[in-house]
Amino acid sequence: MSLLRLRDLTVHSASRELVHGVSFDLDAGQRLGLVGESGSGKSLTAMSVMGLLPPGLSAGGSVLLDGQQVIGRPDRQMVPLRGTTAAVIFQDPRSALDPLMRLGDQLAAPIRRRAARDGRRLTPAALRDSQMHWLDRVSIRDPERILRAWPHEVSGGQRQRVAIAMALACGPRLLIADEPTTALDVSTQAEVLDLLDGLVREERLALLFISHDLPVVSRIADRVIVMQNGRAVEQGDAMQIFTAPRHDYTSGLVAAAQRLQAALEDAERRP
Amino acid sequence: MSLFRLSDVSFGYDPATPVLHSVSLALEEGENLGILGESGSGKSTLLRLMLGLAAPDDGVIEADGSVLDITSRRRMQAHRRFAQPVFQDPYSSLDPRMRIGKALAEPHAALGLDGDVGQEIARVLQAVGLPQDSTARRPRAFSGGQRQRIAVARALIARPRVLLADEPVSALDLSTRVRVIDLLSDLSQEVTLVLVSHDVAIVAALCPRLVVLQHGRAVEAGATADILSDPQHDYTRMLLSSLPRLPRPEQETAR
Amino acid sequence: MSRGTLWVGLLLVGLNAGVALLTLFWLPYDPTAMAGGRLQPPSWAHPFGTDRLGQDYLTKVMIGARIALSVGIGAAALGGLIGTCLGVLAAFARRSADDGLAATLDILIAFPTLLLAMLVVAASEGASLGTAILAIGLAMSAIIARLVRILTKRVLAQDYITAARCSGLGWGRIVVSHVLPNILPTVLVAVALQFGLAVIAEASLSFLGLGTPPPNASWGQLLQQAQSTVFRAPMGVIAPGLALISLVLGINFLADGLRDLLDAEVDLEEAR
Repeated sequence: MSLLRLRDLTVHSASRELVHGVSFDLDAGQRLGLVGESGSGKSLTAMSVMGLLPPGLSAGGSVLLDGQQVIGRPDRQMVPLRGTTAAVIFQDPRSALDPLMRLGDQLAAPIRRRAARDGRRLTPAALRDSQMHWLDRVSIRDPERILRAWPHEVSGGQRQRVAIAMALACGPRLLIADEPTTALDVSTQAEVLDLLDGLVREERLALLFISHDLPVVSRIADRVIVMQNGRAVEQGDAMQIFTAPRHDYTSGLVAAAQRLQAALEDAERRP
Repeated sequence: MSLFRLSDVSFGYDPATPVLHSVSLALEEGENLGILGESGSGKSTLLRLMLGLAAPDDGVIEADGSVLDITSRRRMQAHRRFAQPVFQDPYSSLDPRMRIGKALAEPHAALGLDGDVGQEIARVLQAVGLPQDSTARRPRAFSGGQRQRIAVARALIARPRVLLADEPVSALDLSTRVRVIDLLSDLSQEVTLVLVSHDVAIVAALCPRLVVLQHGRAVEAGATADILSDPQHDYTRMLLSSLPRLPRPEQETAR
Repeated sequence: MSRGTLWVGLLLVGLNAGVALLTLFWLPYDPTAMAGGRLQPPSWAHPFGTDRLGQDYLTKVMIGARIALSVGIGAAALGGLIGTCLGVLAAFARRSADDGLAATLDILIAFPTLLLAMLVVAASEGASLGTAILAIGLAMSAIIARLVRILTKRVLAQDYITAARCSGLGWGRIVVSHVLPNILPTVLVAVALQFGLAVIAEASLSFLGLGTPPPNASWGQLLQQAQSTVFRAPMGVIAPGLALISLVLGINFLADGLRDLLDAEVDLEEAR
């Protein structure tokens, strides 16, 4: 049984269907990229997994998260699944963090929750150790300063690292990353991608990576689903999708990305 | 004669924290210039100075052969006809309550431009590839890419010699992005482009000249091909190496 | 549903406005003459009964509608105008001047409208329709100014403003053709809501004896006078009270409906 199994997922608003039947499986240690342009339904698909659709939208079909049906589950019963089985990191870490709370306190919350779940007593020293451990896991070099800092006092890359640390501290087995590097600079993006890459390998996480940026997805994902207007138009091995796409829409996207890259590589090759 | 010549330009919104440190650059007719930098590099501020929206604390900006004095009304009116902006966010760059026709007519009237306004609007709409009946509609009837075309059309009304574009395609979807880059490339026949971006691929696609900006300093400048094929500065090297790339089909066969 | 709110609001406000207009041309009785016995209960001749001077109460309540609407419209117009001008100026002012203005507005808003109004009345020759409008309008302008200042700053941060500057427009032209059209719908709704509060403020002022002098008594004054006889002639309190509620409720419905309508327009164009 897969960690995550989607069968014929649909998402609809009151008047129309926005996602028309998406199916896939995802297992520990796998990295799946969900690619599409704005309005393709890629984020809606990912948020249905967490039961986090915007108000007014509802999902149909089947989403099995660790064997448990998510569709139609009351929100109250979703809460234990969020964080413990699956966690999300968002595009804008600024809005994912509470601006009026020190980063250390925000990171403490999931650590406490996890301890309470396991029935462990958490001494202040153990909490501190745990905070340091997770900040170290996301390669933050000056954890002391970060723990004391407010969200606005640190860079966008560091905010995203703290958000990832918070997601990991719950001990999830599936990490959903919704455009996690889009708001970051190129150099920071590379570091965050390396980080996610390492985490998947070392923690045996499953990664669902949502992005419109083809090169970024090609960097992180083994398998790719291409979405267009709420449909999964192509699904397959990342290398195959990016080098020998079968569907016309995918070909168009890949050709556009290759064209931009070709301009760059021409310049690089010139003596 | 250079279109723009910046000599040792320094600037800070707050004197204690300068954003630009003695930046010098030149823009020649027909040689699109890319300004590459990450957030906090001062690239957008540099563009604001070139637009004449603020004056440098130190150094001189020459445009069209004379010093840009933003306190002189007449000099600035001339500068508006010489250089026009295109912004990043297609949703913020058009007034949501103003019909496209009026938005395009506005600079024509305010700058006292020659020619029939109706014909000029028809000309710029055609230049950016939008239907002529766009004039009766408001911005919300258009997609992000179309809005960006409208913003370019508004800039073209003044028949400027320089377009100063701040990340003009980074908010657009990939397929739209490529089409807007094609448009800017076509327009480069008539108008010289200064393109500010964090994306080295887009700069490489459009600009034969390049300045790399880091923390308000120009760390590298020259021909784009020279810099990209043989980067001298660590920062440029780091930017190039951190760029994620698609696998190329030949790599597939080579494996 | 929102359309329903708008219609109910229009109906209630329309009713009050109709009555107010009618009083300019026709009244059931002379408001200053004795029309029957004192404190009579409602009858066909006097639907709302008579007051303790034997004057027709319906006539008085009708005149009250005129007073309430005059003060409401006057104060809303004055407050809206001054508030919008001040707010736009504050948004454009230098940092220090803007901070000063913002602080002043905050202090003004912290003052209860009524207290401010009493100060104005005390400072002028005495209570009249004009002082009531001035007092309430000034108090209202502070609230509108604060809103306008924030809205204007938000618009000024948009790229289309920079584009307009690069198109050679001066700040004056930018305010007229870009800032005002973008902030006015919101300001209009805020002014409409303040209009309702102005009507209540006027009633409170005259309840305290600081409103318009008789014979043009407002609802607040009627309420105050009927206080002592509320058990013998309950109509004296019920009639002006209901009238006041109908107008204020109507204005609030209208403002809510207006807000939905302005939002709906955005949605409509989006759907096209």
